[in-house]
Amino acid sequence: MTTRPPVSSTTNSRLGSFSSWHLSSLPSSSTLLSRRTSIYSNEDRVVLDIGSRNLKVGFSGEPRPRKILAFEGQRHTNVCWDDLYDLDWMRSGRDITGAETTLCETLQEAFFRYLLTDPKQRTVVLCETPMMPIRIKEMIAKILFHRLQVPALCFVPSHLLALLTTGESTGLVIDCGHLETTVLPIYFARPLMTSVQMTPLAGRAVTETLRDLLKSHARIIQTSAGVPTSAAPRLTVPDHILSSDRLEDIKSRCILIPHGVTNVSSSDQEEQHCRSSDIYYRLENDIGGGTLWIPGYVREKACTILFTGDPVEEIRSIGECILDCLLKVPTDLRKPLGSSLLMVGGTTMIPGYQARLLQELNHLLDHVTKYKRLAGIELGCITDRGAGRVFTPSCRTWIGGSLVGTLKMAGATIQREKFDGSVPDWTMVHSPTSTNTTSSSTSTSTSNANS
Amino acid sequence: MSTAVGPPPFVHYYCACPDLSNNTQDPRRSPEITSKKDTESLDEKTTTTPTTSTTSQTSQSTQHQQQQKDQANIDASATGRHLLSTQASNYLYPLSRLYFCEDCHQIRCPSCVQDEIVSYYCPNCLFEVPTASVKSEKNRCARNCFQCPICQNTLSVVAAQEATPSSTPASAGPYFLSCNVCRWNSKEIDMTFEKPTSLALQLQKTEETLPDAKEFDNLKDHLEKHLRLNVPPTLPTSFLSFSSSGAFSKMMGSHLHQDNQSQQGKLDDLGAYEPAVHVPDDDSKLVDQLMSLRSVDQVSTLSQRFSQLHDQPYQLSHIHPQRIHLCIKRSKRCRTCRHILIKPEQKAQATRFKIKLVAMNYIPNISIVKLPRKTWPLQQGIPTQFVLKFTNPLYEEMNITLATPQMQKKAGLANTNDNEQQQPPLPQEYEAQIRGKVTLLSPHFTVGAYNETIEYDDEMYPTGSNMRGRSAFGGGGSGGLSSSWVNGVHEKRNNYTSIIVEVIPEQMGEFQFPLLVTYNYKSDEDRMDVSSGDIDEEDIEDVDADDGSRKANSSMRLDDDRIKSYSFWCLIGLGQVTRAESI
Repeated sequence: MTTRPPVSSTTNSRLGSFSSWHLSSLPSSSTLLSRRTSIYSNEDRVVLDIGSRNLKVGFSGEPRPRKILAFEGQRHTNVCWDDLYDLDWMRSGRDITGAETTLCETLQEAFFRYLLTDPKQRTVVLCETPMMPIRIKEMIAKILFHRLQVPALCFVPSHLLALLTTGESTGLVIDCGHLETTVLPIYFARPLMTSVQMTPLAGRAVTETLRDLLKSHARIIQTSAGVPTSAAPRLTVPDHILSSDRLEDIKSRCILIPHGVTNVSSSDQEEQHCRSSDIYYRLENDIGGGTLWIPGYVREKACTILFTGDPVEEIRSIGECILDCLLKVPTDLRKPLGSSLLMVGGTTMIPGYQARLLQELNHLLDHVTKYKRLAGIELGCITDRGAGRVFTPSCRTWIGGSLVGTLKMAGATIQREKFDGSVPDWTMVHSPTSTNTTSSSTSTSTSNANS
Repeated sequence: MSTAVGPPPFVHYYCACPDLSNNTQDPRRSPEITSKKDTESLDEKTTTTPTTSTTSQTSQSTQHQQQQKDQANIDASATGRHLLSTQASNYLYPLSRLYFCEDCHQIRCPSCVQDEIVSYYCPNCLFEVPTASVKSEKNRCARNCFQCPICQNTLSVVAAQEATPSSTPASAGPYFLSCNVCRWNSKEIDMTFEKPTSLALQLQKTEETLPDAKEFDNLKDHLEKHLRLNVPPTLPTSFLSFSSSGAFSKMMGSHLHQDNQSQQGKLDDLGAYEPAVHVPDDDSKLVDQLMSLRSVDQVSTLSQRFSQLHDQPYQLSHIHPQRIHLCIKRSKRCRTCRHILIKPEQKAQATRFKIKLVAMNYIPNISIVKLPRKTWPLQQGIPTQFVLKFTNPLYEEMNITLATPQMQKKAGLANTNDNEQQQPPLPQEYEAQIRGKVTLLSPHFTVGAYNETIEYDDEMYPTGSNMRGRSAFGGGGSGGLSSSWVNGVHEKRNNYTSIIVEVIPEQMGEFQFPLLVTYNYKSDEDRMDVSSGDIDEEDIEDVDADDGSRKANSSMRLDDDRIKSYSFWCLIGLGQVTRAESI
């Protein structure tokens, strides 16, 4: 294998023909697709995809992660945080050391219980989501370098990784995870960062909606011997039943997104028109048994928030985000991007998600004046052609990281010796002369965006 | 019996590892040991030195403080109040999880030791797997060990028919996997085997031909081809890096004038991609299926889905058994001095340790004992006595001095200070921000030495009365303490001493209080590891050579070469405080 020098930054021939398109709005490339021989070992790297809810970990060169580890809830006196971090870290009033301990323990477990490898010998590829708070990134780097002593760490943008797994280089990547949904257009492998759109509607919003719906609509059936289920008393659901683990279980097993439902009908009608059956969910872990009766309406309704948005809080729906994003990109890119939607992230695995989102998008295109400018664009998913749904949406980002790792594409790499506590931060604009290694940007960035 | 559900009582030990003391951005855990030692000792100074100084200072001025009820504490971290903070909860561990570095003479917690892999083994068949095959087998057992897709327990291989003596073993098939816990068997998913051996190999073959593996290889080839064709790199390193706008302009240039720069035009276009497989979208089918569902029993849980990451199916019937994941044996090193603290025997079957420096063998083991006829759980406003039992793991007698965070001396109680001339007497009773008052009736006492015959003694003289225990073992101590109820010593026998503590809970909620334990003992010889007895020879030598550096450690006071002293904080939790009227 030959070592190729990274591209020298020879700059000339700027073009000014795209008036609507600021040159500076485009990230230019550097060296991800370049090949570099690894200083340490050309063995497999460790690929980490750290989300707010769980951690995907595995070796590069493998088609799937080895393990998905959930972060344990951080319990303090009264409050319990299930998520590793919040989008708005500063306002959440959380203590960072709690998150650090959790992350540290989880990473330690990942290396020593699942990867069974000594972290000191493995370069780590870290999939980086654009909305991850910079403090979390610094924390991850700190733990990896100081505690686990990994030799090098390289950051790669998650949306691009997800797109790589389709074999294409242009697409509109919609990452719907736990905390937030980010929509990022990628054109010829260049993330158009200025057009990124984000909404806090994702898995957590679904969980909260589900909790409210269960409280108001679901009932507990106390079964006892001799009494038929139909005659058993039905009680409202107390709070302690709806623990976050159970909600997560109900969310992952019961809810679905039906097709062909519009948002205009009132909730009463919806309750009548719901086609899903009611589910009897056994509460096994509680003494005394009992069954949670979940009406079909709740199962169908829980995800609606993603597609309707929250007009009261002025939170955009995912559909609006996508179309706003298309409005922001240059006119000639709208068509190729619009026809190449790629949905990734765990929440998109709720059955019916993709069909419903497409339906919602078309509805918005037809009925909202703001989006009339987008008329004529045909929306379509990348996964409807090509290899289809060969990879699970939740793992696509990781798989992309695995590809990048095995091909030894170099990203922004930090060596352990050079680590000074700061991490590359895409929100900071560096001068063209700066190298692609450790950016000197200090930690004051505001990645904790909050719409 | 109380049905109140609350946090159970506990004794957690505090590890003063560098993280908390200077919780800043500086790279504390740099690989350079020298710089680390410095920070380490600095940290020690900041945490422990003020502690001792404040305690002695306060003891002199206890009288003055009597009326100053609301006196704010000068430095919370110095007096142990920091143990109640949320940050500290990350550094509090039960004794069983702690190690003790002899060279640093410090408690070491899981976060200040470094793990290293010793050997790989299968937890089911206890077969030690050589490192080379660990990688090729993807960290899973290559023998006949499988885990149940439903309940993740171990599966066993079962023959469909009982092998009769007349039939040859080969005719007993087909074989299938069966779970003894949830009664799942692999016939449910049409998985049978002709031979009962090397099932793993058969399963692995199907694993390798899965569509996602094929597609992944195809993608890899595709990208590799692209990399070979295009020397200049293209993809951005991060979302917005302007590091080499040259490549960008080349891209754009080629895009606009495709005539002469066609080669560069390819830079960014990965080219047409031909997928190896096509997996159709069966989402709508799944939605229909879920719609008519009455019970969730046929739907997989998230953890079941995560055991099969390539497709994560909703249908339970699509989940296959997995080979059992291997485990490792780990050795642990002190991060500060690089000495090994834990080193297991390499063989999977052996449970012995070659080196085992656990804190339990070095520092007094504290346990909470409930006294008969005392209210428990604690009730608001009712003084309750309980016993803290200190067990000495060392072969030498131990002098223990206790202190709780100082707040305000309560008048008119207690005694004790008379007997300890050689050490500054410690204030014994404080009211802290802890939810109530804690009174140590006996802050200074001795604990007898451990010897192996104690266990036999116990058998011979089954728990005698307190008097007897004291007459046999008490009073022999050096501290000049007479073990009597006056001094708050409840029981003193063999290698343990129980002392009485009185608490008056004042607020509802979980009752916790920090306790500073200082102990010293006379080490009469160079024998370092007195209790575990299985340290390597060379390690002992290292320890002796290291003596100078140990003196720098402020928490170690070597007044006399023979006397060793160590102090540590622990947090004692007494469970939930209930309302007094609940009885």
